[in-house]
Amino acid sequence: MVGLAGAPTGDALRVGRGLDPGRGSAVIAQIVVRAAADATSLSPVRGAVRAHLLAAGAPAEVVADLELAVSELATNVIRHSSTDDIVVGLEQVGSSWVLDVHGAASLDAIAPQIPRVGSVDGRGLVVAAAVTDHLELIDVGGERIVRCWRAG
Amino acid sequence: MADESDVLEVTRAEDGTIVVTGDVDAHSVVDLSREIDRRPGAVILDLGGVGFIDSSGIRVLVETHSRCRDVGNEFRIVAVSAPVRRLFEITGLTGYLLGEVDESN
Repeated sequence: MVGLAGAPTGDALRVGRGLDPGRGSAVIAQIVVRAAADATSLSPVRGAVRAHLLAAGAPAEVVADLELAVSELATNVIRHSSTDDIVVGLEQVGSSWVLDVHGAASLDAIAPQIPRVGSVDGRGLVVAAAVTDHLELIDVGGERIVRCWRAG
Repeated sequence: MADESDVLEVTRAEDGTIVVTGDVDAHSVVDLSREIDRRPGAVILDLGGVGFIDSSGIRVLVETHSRCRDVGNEFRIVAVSAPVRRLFEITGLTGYLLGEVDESN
């Protein structure tokens, strides 16, 4: 993978291009971010997503929403998955952004429900669903991915 | 990429208010929890300088609110930034955490 201008590179965080989305020429801009599946990676991963969105001219609201979505979904991977890496794909497809967060093997379905008020857990998917237009589980090459669509 | 404004800073004002600035996520929220736990009693939080927060921060706030209520200690949030308010609204916790009617739910 190659470094993305303005984003950190090296062993801790790798940002590159080349995720095969199978959507051909509709894809305008894409990156892949890979980092250790550790909570210390959350801020750099958000930063890489933010840098790419800003460089592509995405509106501030879209930037904030996708930063929040990737933070929630990457946190879920860290907490519930045995994977060594967080892998995030981000691409612009036509007028929409598509955010893929890999390593969602622990999820059987996406059915976010707001937990009762005093409940401590269970809000990550609720938040990710609220700030994106569509959230789905897809299986690619034997790997389960949470895919978010966000207009903008 | 994180810049200096992203880094979580948790300080205690003279009146005991815990002042939080920067980003709150599953990694940084540990610092907030530590400061809350450092001094028993009322928990007064100023979240006006929080630039980013996700549900990991909500988790700690709900836990702290619940713990304070159980032992009769005051829990109060005296300021929130736009990202904090928005997350409270998304999660339906505006009324619970701020004592305000949540009109979004």
